Amino acid sequence: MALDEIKIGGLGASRRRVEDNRFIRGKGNYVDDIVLPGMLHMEILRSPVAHARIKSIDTSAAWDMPGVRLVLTGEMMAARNLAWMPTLSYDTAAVLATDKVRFQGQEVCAVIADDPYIAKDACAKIVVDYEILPPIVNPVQAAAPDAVQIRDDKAGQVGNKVFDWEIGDKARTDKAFADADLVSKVELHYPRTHPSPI
Amino acid sequence: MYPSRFKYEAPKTLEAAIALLDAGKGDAKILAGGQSLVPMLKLRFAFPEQIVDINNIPGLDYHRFDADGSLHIGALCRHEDLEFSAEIAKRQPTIAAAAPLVADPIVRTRGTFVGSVCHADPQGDWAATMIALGGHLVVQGPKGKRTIEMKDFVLGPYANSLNYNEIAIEAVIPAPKGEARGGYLKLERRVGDFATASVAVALDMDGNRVIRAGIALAGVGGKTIDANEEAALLAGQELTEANIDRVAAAVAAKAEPRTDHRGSSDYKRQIVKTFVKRILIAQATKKAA
Amino acid sequence: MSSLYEEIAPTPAEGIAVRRITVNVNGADRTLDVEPRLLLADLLRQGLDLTGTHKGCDTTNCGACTVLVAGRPVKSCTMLAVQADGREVQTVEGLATASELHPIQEGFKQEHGLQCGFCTPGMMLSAKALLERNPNPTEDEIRWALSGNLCRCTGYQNIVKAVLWAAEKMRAESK
Repeated sequence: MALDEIKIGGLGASRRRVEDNRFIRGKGNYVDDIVLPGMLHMEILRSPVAHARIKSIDTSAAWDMPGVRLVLTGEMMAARNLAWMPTLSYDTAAVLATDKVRFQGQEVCAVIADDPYIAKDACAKIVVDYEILPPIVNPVQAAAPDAVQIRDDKAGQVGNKVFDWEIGDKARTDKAFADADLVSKVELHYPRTHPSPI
Repeated sequence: MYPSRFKYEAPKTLEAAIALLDAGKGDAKILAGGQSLVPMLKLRFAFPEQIVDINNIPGLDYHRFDADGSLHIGALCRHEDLEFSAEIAKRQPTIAAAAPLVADPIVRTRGTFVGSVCHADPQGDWAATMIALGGHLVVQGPKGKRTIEMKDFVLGPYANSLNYNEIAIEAVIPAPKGEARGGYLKLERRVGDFATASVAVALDMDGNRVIRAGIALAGVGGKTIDANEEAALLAGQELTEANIDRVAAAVAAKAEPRTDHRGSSDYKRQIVKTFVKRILIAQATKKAA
Repeated sequence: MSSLYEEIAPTPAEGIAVRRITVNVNGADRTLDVEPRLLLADLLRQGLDLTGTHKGCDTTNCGACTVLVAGRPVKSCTMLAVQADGREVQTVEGLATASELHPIQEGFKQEHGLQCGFCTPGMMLSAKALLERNPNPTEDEIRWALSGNLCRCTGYQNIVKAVLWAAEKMRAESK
């Protein structure tokens, strides 16, 4: 940055961004741009179904492919106590599925290989035998009294409510609604958002 | 996402390409623009044994009007070649209106008109345009050339009537009998989205009198909707408000829209009716060339 | 061992068919042995270490992977590397000279046309192709020409300003 471009000033003084010089030259070094010596590549095999028991996983053909270094299953992770991890909301999440898959797209296996094309090929060779169970695909289904239980991995879990959170003064809130001239209701559907580093 | 492995050839002649298709016995796929095929390869929805890349065959990247007024579009004519053509703008207004609405400007530098028609996507803009214009394809195989009328070409979603050893080498739009007028309107939530509804209207006019009319719809059914029968209500007629209303209603009734996140079927039907009217009214108020 | 790139495997892995291609990238001929299924984006990013071309959606939507092939914008995630054999490819790394930024790069800097920078290479190359055909575009023409490139950060307003800035600079320089 040229010296005459640097203006000294306080609040409200306009500044040139320092990162633009890299970005406009294509030197952004985003996560996928990182290259390390001997770097390997991972591809994840995901469940095509929303709810199923895993009867068996055959990874032998994947292991046989040239360039494949490791084919990870939930069983291998569980043997090292790594199959489940804690979440920020005091729950646990599966790293790789062990007994069941509980959502469509859930990670079942991970292949580590010399390049991403080979990793993808190896995933395509893994055979998973699923026993398909009834799916739950929205909160209304999940809350139904006869709904199938998804999180049967949690000790003492009944039904599908895994998170209960309340804040404020319920009595005063109820009174405000009761006293209101008009009560308006709207149903909002928020799609799930998943932050990803770029 | 990465394609699975395939064999690849880039022949320099049409005959060589056809020979490869023939030898492939149905396991070889033509690669032209690739804007439909490559995404399918990446998703592994398509996994041919062999890809036959025709981009190095000279003499296929043309579009031209013959002396008789017919338009010939070669296999490697890209969408943007039609979009930026002054002659197309003047002489084939339906195509000129549709071209800028196909996919997005970057896809249009590679994707081809003929490839798009062959891909037989039920949402395809060019399929609807070809039906409305009454076009046909020239295809070439080991035994030589033949023509296939557009209405006989698409068998179903992503299925066309080419034999495995044939290449579509040209699309032909017949010469208009009078003055070519018409338009193409597409409602999409954003550029590149599937159409909520698309309407192609092709007219051959003599002043304000219609010699021939063709209408086709995309995005409002499981396949391109051929509304040429409804359009024929205009044949021999003037473009009056009453005639326009009647055709628009008939075409809207022919549509088979489904309610989805793009809108209710009623809404889509209303769009079809509105678009037909809008295009026809614009033609009626245009001064004859 | 990977059979995709000459730098990693000068001899192809056994049994994997590769094709020798020569692609002119940013003015220099590069010859590599590649599998036919290698995507152009991966040839650039992994084979040639030109990571300025980004993979955003991998579904031919976002345009973050846009490069110029024979001067025209192409989504490099939707083109096979073998299709670039014998062709000229320009990436973002080829915009600046050793001493100077391209006016388009300058424009994005001057007009705050980027925030995270992920879409920026694709935006700039699409804009370059536009300005080559239309040196004096209107705002509408710019928006139309860039409608194959998505941006999640800026709301596009400053991108348009950046292209207008660059267009004016390039017109002045060509006088």
